[in-house]
This record gives sequence, structure tokens and C-alpha cells, in this order.
Amino acid sequence: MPRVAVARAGDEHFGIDINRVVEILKAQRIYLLPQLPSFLAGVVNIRGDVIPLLDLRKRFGISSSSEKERIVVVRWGKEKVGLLVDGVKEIVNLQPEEITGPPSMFRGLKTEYLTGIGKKGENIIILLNIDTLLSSEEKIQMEGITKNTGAENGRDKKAAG
Amino acid sequence: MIKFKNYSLVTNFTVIILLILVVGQGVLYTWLLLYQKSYLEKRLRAEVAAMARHVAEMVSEDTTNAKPLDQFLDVLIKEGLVLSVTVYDASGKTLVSKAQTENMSEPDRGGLNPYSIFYIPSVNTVEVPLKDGEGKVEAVYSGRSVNELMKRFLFVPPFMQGVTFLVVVYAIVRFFRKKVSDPVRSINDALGRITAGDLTVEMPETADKEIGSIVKGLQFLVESLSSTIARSNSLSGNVAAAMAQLTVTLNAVGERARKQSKSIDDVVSMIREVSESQKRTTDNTDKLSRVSSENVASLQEMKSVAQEIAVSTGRLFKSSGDSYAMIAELSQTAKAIAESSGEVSRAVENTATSVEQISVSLNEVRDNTKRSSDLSATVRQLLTDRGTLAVADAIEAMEKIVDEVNYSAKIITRLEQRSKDIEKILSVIKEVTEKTNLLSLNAAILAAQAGEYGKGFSVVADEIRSLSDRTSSSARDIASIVKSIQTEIHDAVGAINQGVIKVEEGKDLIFKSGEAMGETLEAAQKSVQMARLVEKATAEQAEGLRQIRMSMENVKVMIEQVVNATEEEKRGSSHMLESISDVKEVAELTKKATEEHAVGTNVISRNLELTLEMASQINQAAMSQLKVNEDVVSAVEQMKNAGVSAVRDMEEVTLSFGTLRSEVESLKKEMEAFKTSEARSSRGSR
Repeated sequence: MPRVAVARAGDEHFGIDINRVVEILKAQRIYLLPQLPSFLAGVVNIRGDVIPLLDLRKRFGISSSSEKERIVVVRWGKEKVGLLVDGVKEIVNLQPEEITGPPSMFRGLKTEYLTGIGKKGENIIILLNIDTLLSSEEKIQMEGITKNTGAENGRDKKAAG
Repeated sequence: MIKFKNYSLVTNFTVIILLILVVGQGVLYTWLLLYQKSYLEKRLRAEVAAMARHVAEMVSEDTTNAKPLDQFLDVLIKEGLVLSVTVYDASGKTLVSKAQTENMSEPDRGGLNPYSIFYIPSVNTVEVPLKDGEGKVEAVYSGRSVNELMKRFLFVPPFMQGVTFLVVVYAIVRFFRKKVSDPVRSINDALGRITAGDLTVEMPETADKEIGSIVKGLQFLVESLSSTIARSNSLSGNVAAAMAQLTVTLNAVGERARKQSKSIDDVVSMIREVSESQKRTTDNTDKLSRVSSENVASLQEMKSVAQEIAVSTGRLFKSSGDSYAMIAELSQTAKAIAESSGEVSRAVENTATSVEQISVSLNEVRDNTKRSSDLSATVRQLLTDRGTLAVADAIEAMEKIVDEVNYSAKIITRLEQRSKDIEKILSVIKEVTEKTNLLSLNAAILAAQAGEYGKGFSVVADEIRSLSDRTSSSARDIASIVKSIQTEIHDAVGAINQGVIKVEEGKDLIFKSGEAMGETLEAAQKSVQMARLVEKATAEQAEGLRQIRMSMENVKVMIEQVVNATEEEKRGSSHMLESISDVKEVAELTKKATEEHAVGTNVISRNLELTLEMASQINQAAMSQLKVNEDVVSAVEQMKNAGVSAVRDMEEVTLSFGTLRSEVESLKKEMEAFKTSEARSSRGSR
């Protein structure tokens, strides 16, 4: 009985496994680092942690904007990654019979990004596979950034100490 | 994984702890028992083996002397531990054998007992070789002592454990009920009441850190909600009070407008009356002028007759002058005279009739003039008394309306300001609900990650989220209500401004109608004057006519005398001459009378012409008055229309205020659905 946080990007609803979610935040100031990969919207400073921010709408080619933007911070390996979405509606419990396996193609999304499709009443929730959200090449780039920011953090802490 | 149904957290926790304890203890204790059994068995075996070795030593030391060995064996067997001892030599022949006879038949229960794994067999054998290597000692021993010990271990300690267990369970249940279940239930109760709209709920006190922080957060949320709602509530109360005031004012305005409309109706009906009277006056003056022109025609006739008379008298005079010379023709002449006299008499008769007719017409003229004068006076009276009063009333009412409308506009402006204040508060509420929503989401995530133990917490988080959703939706409702109130206010301002314009127009029209009424009054005064003049002229004319009639009577008498004289002349020619002189005299008199008559007729004619002129003047004045009246009527009609449209506007304003008021009422109701401590205290003080 997986529990997912339902995030909205455009008209689509994406389900993010709740065990991967660290917290949900209001959208805040996004910093642009030089030579940032195109799939990243920037980095955000969350209580001293510098976290790369992935714009989920850009990732899936959804053009929209919302006044109530939210950042869903998820665990990604040992690091954290922020997902920028139009809003977070609720936490839902999905029964096993409400989940179907990923079809070969769903609304133009490559199914490697999905773990399945959840149906809750009329709503269709696309269950995101966070691990495959980034291609392997992108993962390497991302690791570079998280390492760098981690190292910077370490330095900062030392300096502060 | 064990599937739990909807048992409480405490139950689940206790059951799991108990299961772990029971299984763990069972395994541990089984292991302990098995270990003990093997240890005891080993020890027994070692003991018996030592004994057997001792026997073997004794056998090998002294095979000849069997007495000490026999004694030792007796003692050994008597102890009860060893059932039998047999010594064999190398070839397997029994050297010594001692056995315990009575206990050998002990039944072996091991096969049937469920605890058999904790028991050892009741009969065991130990073989020990003799020292020289030839033969052996076989000792058979009982396992009863071990089994009895094991039996005690099997039953007493589990019972003790069971008792300890119950105590532990009781303690855990007590602890959880006190520390977790009760606070969560009380928080749920509080949330239930908050969800139902009661914000006066008191948060339970908890010393616990985690639940205490939830309670604090809830308390903060409830306080901020309560304070904002209290402010909204007081604002909506203010708005309602302002609306009530406004409604009273508007009703007053409506009352005034109706009153004004009524007074305008009065004015209109009065002016209609006046117009009617004036029309009658005009009719009368028309008739008058017609009668006057008839009089003039009669007079003309009379005049021509008089001229004829004059000619006749001239001829008569000439004839009487020629009488003397024309004695012979006397008879004939006398006849002609008689004829002429008859003719004269007839003419005089005619004249008298005409004069009589004129007199009647004059009387009629006088009556009509009198009536028209009276009517004009009535008109004047009406206009001066009620007309000016009604106009003044209307102007006063209009000014009051202007004041009231201005007051309404001021109140509406204040209302607009209030609704802007409400908007500001709504934005604060929106911010709070958004923050609460985010907080509840994160709480739900944390609760979900805590698994089963976070279930109670997740219920709290869901409640908070639904609360924040409800707050947000009701804030949206309030916002839309405020929007519609603002629209209504805008409409009301527009309607009131239009009302002000209409009222100003109405005021102008009333002023104009007042002026027109003044003109009417002047015209009425003038017509009264004219009528007076006509009356006077008619009286003079009547006097002239009376003189004419008198002279006519005289003429008639004279002519009768002439006729008589002529008759007499006919009878006697001798008296003719004498009579002729009389005739001459009479003719002279006649001539004089005729001249006099001509003079009177001229006077009458002049008077009649004057009358005619005056009548036409009256007619003209009446006509102009009529026209002015029509102007007045149309002005008043316009004014009435303006008044009616002002009333309609007022009604529209009242209607829009009714809507506005109902909107405010619904807003107030919405606000009252939240029970706040302030509201409660104010209700209490009431």
C-alpha cells in the first residue's frame, strides 16, 4: 500500500513515493551557478544546505506557471534533490488494485521515468521513478554538483567552526 | 507481517511487545532446559561411571576376596541410584551380579510424555572395562532423580514468568494510555470542535514534548484564526449597522420623494381646476362678444330706423309748413301723415323691441362678466393660497431629498472603505491557511514515514489540512461576497448620483413652475380688472338704454296723439289749420326727440363698441392665460415625471440596498458560524 505525495505540474499529477520525500517547501529564491546543466533550474539554499533544483515541468516539457509553486525535496542516493512543481495537493494511499504497471508509452512520457500509473477515482497519478529521472550522463553531472556544493558546505562549516 | 486492523496504537504496540516477549522467553527457556538436562545427565553418568570404575578397581585388586566388594555393591544398590551391577570376565561370564529387585519394574513413560525431550530414559547402562583388560563392569542406573528435578524446572518458573508478564503488560498499557492515547484523543476532540467552527475550544495540557508541540501549533492556529475572525465579525457588524442606518435614511428619502410626488399631484390637479375655470371664462367672454356684436347689429338697425324717422319727421315738418298752401290736398296729405304716423309708430315699436333685446343682451353680458370676474378671482385665490404653498412644500421636500441622498452617498463611501479593510484581513487569513497547509503536508509525510506509529499523528495532520482547506474555501467565499458587495456599492453610488441629478432637475422644474404660476396669477389679476371695466361699461350702457326707452315711450305717445289728431282732421277740415299748428309743434317736438334719440343711440353705439373691444381684450387675456396654464401644466407634468423617476431611482437604490443588506447578512452569518471567544463573551454580556 504505497503512499505518495501528489504533485501537480500543469494538468498532470505526479506521485512521489513518500519515503523518498524529505519535506515540502514554499518556492524560494533560486540561485544560478555558472555552467549549470540545462536540465537544472538552479540551486536553492535550504537552511544552509545547497540543493540542486530540477524543474519537473521543464523535464517533461510542460509549459505552465503557478503562483503556488512548491519544492519537493527528495532523497537521491546520499544527496537531496529539489523538484520544482506547480503545487502539492495531498498525500494519498494507493491500494494495489489501483496501480497498473507502466505502459510502453504514456502521454508522450518515456516509461523509464515511471514505476506505474495510479488511479484514484477519476484522477490518474503518474508514479515517478526518481532514480531514473536523470539519465546516466546527467547523474554524473549532478553528482559533480552535489560534491562541489557538499565540499563548499564542508568548507563553510569549517570556516564557521 | 502481521496485519493489524483498526486497533489503537496502544493495543498494537502491546500485542507486538507481548509476542516478542513470549516467543523470546519460550526459545530461551527451552534452550536453558535442554542445556540443563544434558548437563545433569552428563553429571549422573560421570558419577555412575566413577562408581563403576571403583568397582572395577576393587575387582581387579582382589578377585579372591569377594566380601568387601559384595558389601560395597550392597551399599551402592541400597542408595537407589544404581539399579544393578554386573561384573563380566573376559569370556563374558558373569563374575558378580547384584541387582535391585523391587524397582526394576518401573514403567518407562518417556514415549508418551510431551515433555519427553526434557527427560532422560529411566534405565541407563554404563560399561567400564576391568583394569587388566579382561572383562568389564556393567552398571545399570535410574534416570529418575534427573527427571524429577527437570519436572520442577518445567512447571514452577513458567508460572512465575506468566505472572511477571501480566504485570509488565498492565504497566505498558497504563503508561501508553496516560502518555499517548489520552492526549491524542483530547487533541482529536479539540480538532473536531474547531472543524465544527467552535474556536473557543481549550487545548489540553501535555507535558510531553512532541504532542506538546502539536498542541502549541494548534493553539497558535486557533488564536490567529480566532482573532482574525473576531475582527471580521466586528467589521461585518459595523457594516450591518451602517447598512441598517442607510436603509433607514433611504426609507426617509423614499418617504420624502413620495410626499413630494403627492404634492406635485396636488399642484397638477389644482392647475387643471384653474385651467377648467379659465376655459369657462373664455367661453363666457366669447359669448359676451357675440352678444355684443348682435347688440351692435340691432343698434345699427335702430339707427337706420331713426334716420328714417328723421327723414319722415323732416318731411312731416315740411308738409306742415306747406299746409296752408296745400289745403286742398290736405285730406290726402293728412292721410299720408296718418300713414306715415302708423309707419313711425311701427318703427318706434320696432326700436323699442330692439332696445328691449339689447337690454336683455346687456343683462346677459353683465351676468357673464360678473361670472368671469368671479372665476378669475377664484383662480387668483387658488393660485395664491394653495399653489404657492404646494410649490414651497415641493421645493422644501426636494432640498431634504438632496440632503438625504448626500448623506447616503457618504455612508456608502464609508462602506466601501470597510469592505477594503475586510479584503486586507482576508489576505492575512489566506497567508495563514497556506502556511498551515504546507505544515500539515509535511506533518503527513513525517507521519507516513513513521509507519504504523505515526498513524495517530497522521490523523491529526489530515485534520489540520482539511481545516486549512475549509478555512481557505470560506476565505474565498468571503472574498467573493465582498467583491459583490463592492459591485453593489458601486451600483448604489451610480444610482444615488443619478438620483441627485434627477432631484436637481426636479428642483429647477419646481422653480420654473413657480414662475409660471406667478405669470398665471398676473394674467388672472388682469382679467379680473378687465371684467370689472366691462361691468362698469355695461352698467353705463344700461343707463343709456333706459333713457332711449323713455324717449321712445314719449315718441309713441306723441305719435298716438298725431294719429288721433290726423283722424280728427279727417273728420273736420275746419279745424284743420288750427290743428296744423299743433301738428307743427308736435313735429318740432318729434324732431327734437329724434335728434335726442340719435344722440342716445350714438352713446349706446360707442359703449357697445367699447364693450366689444373690452370683450375681445378679455378674450385675448384669457387666451394668453390659457396658454400660460398649458405651459404650467406641461412644466408640472415634467416635474411630476422627474419626481416619479426620482422615486423609481430611490426604489432601485432601496432594492440594491436590500440585496446589499442580504449579502452583508449572509457574510455576517458566515462569520457567526465561527465561534470565537470574543463572540461568546459578547453573547454572554448580552
